[in-house]
Amino acid sequence: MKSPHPPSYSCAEVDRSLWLYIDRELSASDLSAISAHLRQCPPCSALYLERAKEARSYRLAFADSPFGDRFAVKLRRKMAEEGLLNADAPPAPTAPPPPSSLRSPRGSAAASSRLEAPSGKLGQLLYLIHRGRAHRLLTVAAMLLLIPAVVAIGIISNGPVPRSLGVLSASGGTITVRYLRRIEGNPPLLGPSEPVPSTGAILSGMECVVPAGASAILNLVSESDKKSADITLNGPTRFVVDPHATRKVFSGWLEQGNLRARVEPKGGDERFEIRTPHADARVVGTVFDLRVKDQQTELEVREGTVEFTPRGRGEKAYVTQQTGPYVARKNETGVEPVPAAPEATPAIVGPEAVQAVTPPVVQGAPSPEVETGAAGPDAAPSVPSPEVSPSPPDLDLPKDEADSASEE
Amino acid sequence: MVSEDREYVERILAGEPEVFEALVRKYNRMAGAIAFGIIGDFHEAEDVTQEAFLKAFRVLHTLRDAGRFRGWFAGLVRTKALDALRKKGSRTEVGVAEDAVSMEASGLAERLHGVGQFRSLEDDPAREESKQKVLEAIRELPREDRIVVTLKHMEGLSYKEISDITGASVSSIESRLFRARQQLRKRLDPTKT
Repeated sequence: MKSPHPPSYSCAEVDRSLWLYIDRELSASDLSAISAHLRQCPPCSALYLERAKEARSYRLAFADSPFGDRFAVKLRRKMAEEGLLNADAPPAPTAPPPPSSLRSPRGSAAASSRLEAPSGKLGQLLYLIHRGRAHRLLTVAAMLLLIPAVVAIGIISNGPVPRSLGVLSASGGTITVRYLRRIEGNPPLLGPSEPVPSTGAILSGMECVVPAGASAILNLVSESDKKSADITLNGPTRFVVDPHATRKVFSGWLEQGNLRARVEPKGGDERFEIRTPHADARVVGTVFDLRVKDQQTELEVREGTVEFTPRGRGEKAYVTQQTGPYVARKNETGVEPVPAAPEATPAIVGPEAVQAVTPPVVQGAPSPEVETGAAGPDAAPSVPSPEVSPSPPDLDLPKDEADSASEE
Repeated sequence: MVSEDREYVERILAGEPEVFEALVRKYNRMAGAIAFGIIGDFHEAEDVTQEAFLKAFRVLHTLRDAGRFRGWFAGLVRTKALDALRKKGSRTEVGVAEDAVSMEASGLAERLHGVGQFRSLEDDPAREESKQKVLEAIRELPREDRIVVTLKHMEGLSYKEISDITGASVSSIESRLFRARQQLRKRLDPTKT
């Protein structure tokens, strides 16, 4: 939505536009202008925190709604009971030919069987063409059938699949998850929080908030349903599965907290990568710990080798058990050994190609009202970062200010 | 979004019924928000949403434009929810006291079997009480405002998306939300305007 206000906002204009700001219904320049105003204006900033707290209370009121993955599981069960989910259903009297761009490996058997039909028809057509009947018309018809078939075969295995990446189990407290959704033309948004029952599916775009004292285990599986990696999150931790993560190329974002990963050896085209606000850890097959706190990320490798790349431009290191732990600090290029480590020189191992570090998907993405930091959805509303640019957050008020506002 | 829905619908109609679950995962919160907005009760909203999905699955072949699943399905949910409301009798708006009881029952059921060994999110009684108060205040809103507030805060939709679903203009959504939030603020904290 285009705002009529000029880029510079008065207090009255900010007051009028505050809900649009919280709802992200302003242009990037207007969001930026209001952020700038809030940074310099304590009364408006206090009003913002009050509104953000209000928005959060509305959102939390729906936290126990029966919708989300639980609903999907229930409905699937009901549909199976009613016999709706079987090979013959549903009737499709006017079904068009199956589109190819979303063809999945899971559906490939069905796809193959469907592809036979056009082939049979094609054979008949060719036969008719050979006999010289309706030559021109049938040539066109044959091409119309052939082109989709060729396209389908070409991309049959590359379609995005709404498929679980593994199983999440939790202990010691209530784990909550939210799902990152992309709405065209907008930065990604996080949906409402929902508690995880004893276990749940791991889906791409899932944010997992583990409170203090609790832990979550993510058992990831490979394309062939074999164990791929185990990630243990010890609370308080906030972890997001990349919206583009697949079973083959897993990528996650550790916003805050502690993570331990045990990764099975990877094949040539498989990848496992954990990113933090300060660095990327890319794994071939190993066991390692990542700790994000106090403006830094510390990596300790227990087995194998981890490629450790600082956020932004900088020199990476290959960290092993022998090199000792490494640390990446905010706003510093390069990673370096933790001072206590006896050996400062990282061992350079592994010829694997270096992946270009892409900007983190979640940085600055959550809407102002749902920005929760590491403490989960129950934390105080943090100060907003509604800009589209990935980092840093546009407005960075002191944390205790936000905390005190939430405790009113 | 639209092309994704088109793909899903076409695949279901082409003989992959399991793809329907992708639509369920994508739209159950939206449907739940509409149903709750109309009925004001999570249990009933869940039943209505379930019925709407079952109906959508059965009559999917009647959808003329596969890319318009969202609007078509939102209409189905709305109709089902209004039917459910009519069946409840003469009550057109939600009785707060009765629903407050059902919400308590809902929370209890959740604790009994929904979350297994884990503590409920409502482990803080004060927070739970505050949440119930907010829900009660939302239930007291006029129906159309309630739908908009629910779509915004339960599903996190943009004004444009809410406008697409409800058929109201974006500016109308903006003013409804503004008005509804003012009313909520008054009810929840009368000391603030």
